[in-house]
Amino acid sequence: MSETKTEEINYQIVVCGVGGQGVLLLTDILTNLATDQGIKVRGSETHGMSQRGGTVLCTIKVGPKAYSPLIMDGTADIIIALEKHEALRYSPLLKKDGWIVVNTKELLPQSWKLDKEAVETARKNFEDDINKITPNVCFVDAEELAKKAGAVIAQNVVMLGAAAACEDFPFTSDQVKKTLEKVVKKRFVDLNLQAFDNGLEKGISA
Amino acid sequence: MFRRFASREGNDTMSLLGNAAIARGAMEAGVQFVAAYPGTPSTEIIEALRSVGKELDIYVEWSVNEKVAMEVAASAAISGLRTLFAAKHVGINVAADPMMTLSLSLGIVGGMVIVAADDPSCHSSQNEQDSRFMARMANMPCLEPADIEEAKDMTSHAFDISEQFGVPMMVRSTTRISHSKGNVTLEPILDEKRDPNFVKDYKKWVCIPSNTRVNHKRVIDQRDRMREWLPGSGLNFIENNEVEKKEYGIITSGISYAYVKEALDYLGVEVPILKFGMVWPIERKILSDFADLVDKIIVIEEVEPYLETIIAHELTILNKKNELLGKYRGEVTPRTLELNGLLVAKGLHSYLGGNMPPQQDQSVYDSIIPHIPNRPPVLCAGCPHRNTFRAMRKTIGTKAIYNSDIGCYTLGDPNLTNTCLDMGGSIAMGSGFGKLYTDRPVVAIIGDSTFFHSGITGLVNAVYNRSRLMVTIVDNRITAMTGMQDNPGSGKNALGDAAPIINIEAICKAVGANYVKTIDPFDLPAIEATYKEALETLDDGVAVIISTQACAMEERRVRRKEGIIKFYKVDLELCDGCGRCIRVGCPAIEPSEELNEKGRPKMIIDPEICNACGLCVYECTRDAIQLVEIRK
Ligand SMILES: Cc1ncc(C[n+]2csc(CCOP(=O)(O)OP(=O)(O)O)c2C)c(N)n1
Repeated sequence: MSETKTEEINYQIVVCGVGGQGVLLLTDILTNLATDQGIKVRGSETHGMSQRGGTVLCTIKVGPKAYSPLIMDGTADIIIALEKHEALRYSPLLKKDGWIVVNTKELLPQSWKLDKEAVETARKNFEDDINKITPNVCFVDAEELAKKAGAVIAQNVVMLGAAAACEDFPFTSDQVKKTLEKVVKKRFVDLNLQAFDNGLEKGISA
Repeated sequence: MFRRFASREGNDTMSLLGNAAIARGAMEAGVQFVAAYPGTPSTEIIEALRSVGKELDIYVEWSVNEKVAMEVAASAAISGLRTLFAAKHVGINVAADPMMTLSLSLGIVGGMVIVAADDPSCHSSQNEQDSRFMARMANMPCLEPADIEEAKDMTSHAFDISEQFGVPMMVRSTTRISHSKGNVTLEPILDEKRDPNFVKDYKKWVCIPSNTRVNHKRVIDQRDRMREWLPGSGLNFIENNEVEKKEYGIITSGISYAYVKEALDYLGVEVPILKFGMVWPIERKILSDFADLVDKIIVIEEVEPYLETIIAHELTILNKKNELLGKYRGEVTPRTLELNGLLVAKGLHSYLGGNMPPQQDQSVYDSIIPHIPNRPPVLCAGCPHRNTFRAMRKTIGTKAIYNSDIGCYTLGDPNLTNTCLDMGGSIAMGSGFGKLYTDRPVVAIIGDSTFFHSGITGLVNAVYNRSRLMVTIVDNRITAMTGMQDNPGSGKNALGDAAPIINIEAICKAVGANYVKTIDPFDLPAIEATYKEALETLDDGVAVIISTQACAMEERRVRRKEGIIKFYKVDLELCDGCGRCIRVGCPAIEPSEELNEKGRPKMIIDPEICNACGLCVYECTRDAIQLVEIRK
């Protein structure tokens, strides 16, 4: 986490995953987080078709230079991937030596369920592939860490925790937690704070 | 969050979706009457307004289609109320008939805003089209916001301008405005309720030729007055007019302005920019000034070369000789798909120079692409549409001509989807095909919301013209594709009150279809028998099968609320790994780690995804799949 002054922040975040994984909620938390700090933020969301088992991409730009919500190829500071293979799909957005924080959870698309070979090849090559993109990768078993916090659905917040551990992430964990308390439904606050901490701890140790 | 969004005082900065910002703009302008039909990317404007409707005393309705919504809205606007209509770009087509005459002849009294949400790149649409041309065709003023903050302010401003000039106004949004999110500063809500005050005036409100001839002239004169009013409005502005190098200048509008700003940042160059906030009518004064300031003009815009075309004409009128570049010939930006900062930077670089956009090592990505799976959208687990498609494949077969429609069921089965044109098109196209082909069944597949939208007229046509047609209405009691909006079959209206349930079966019978039957798609033997029976009757007239079962996602939501969790589970002792169940294409079924003697995987069902429809049970020959029900 950085100590940067708010007016100097220009930080670009890619959040991706598969429909139903909570990509939109994570985006919501991030835009609220920037808003709570009084920093300009613009994000893009995918709605509609892509939610039906499709791939979901959200881009979030924080700072005074956020004119449009879209991130140009080669400029994102971090990719937070809620599903393993989705990290690769959006890798062209990442700047040189940017961070990838990736959930090792794998969701098989329909086409792969009966294609053992495709799955095996992808699994075998995964680490090589991701290391070709950047040396800065943090693998997170978010399913496990979310279960520990109390519910599998909190994987997105675990991933936020891991991302918050990256050195140039522009918000402190206290700031994130304050926003979480406001954005998440009351009865899920404790669970989400725990999920965040679990992710953060994993991120720091990675 | 809701409290802040609905706050009458404003005086707050909060993170909002672009569509919620548009809704807030309408609230701040004192909107009182809202009518719309859902469609991505416009739906959430209405979702936001209906969430505050009761509290702020705003009437909000889901109308049955966009044409009806426009007409409903017109009644309020000519009664002096501030009125909002919103639709996706193709919804504007459906509403075009009343919209044209409302703008070209009648006019309005209370401010009326028509939000058109375009979808460049067709993220969730059947085409890419540019609503600015529709505004131009209607000679209707059109604002185009470049950012969500501006979207809120322009929507609010549009009500004032509309009222001042007595004309409906279009606000053109695009996906990257409507579905972007960011911080927006709220202002107070105009808390001034008006009583409807329709003043009869035969010459104004009745579009007979003698009246319209006069009114059309009035509209044209008014648009000229608007051009003269524009310079003081602050809607259009020039930036960077101080820069030294003035060989090129950029004209832009909407989200493209944001891409231009980013592209110039990226290239590290500055050139004058003329940003149009109002894209019809075009302000001549500012264009003339700009044409004098720069030699050549580059137009950056999304979808059609709209501004480019209009500006070429205006420059001729102004007797300016500037060279004009843009997208018409594809020289600066591509002719299709949405723009982004990088595309604009690449396009501008050839003319403006500056830092080259960074070249990425494409070979790295190329080497990993084969390892990234495709994820085409599929029907949800437990979706009743899946069962209906299965029954049709088994009984009608693939020789038939299947005309599909617009909704979740468009994803049903590519082999049983031979045409898809527009909402309601399935039955009408089927009506035509049914006259052309008598040697094979002609089928139309349409959802409940789409049937109410524009399927009924097609059905009347098919019966009246004695077409040989089999209609399937996949009735899941909700408008699912756009995010679960209620419709005339759901028993609830947009404000959450109980509403009459319009009976689809009774409609089909009243229209005169020869065979009409409602079935439950979860009862597979019954649905197959019904199709077989219906097929025998096609020579006697139109057959309609209404396949009624609630949307799986909606069912799940209701069930979970009641504390019930239901799913199916595979007994791996009994499963022999035959793989029949997984071939139904349900997202909940997956191969397990356990293999059968041939080395093929036995199957498991993900309890988080399963919606307990039981389709897989019909496939299992070994009774290996059992229902689990947990009550909390
Ligand atoms: C003219 C037009 N208006 C609106 C839409 C947006 N839209 C896409 S599908 C759909 C409705 C689908 O509802 P239904 O027919 O009930 O099928 P379901 O998705 O529930 O299966 C709508 C409104 C559109 N594509 N075109």
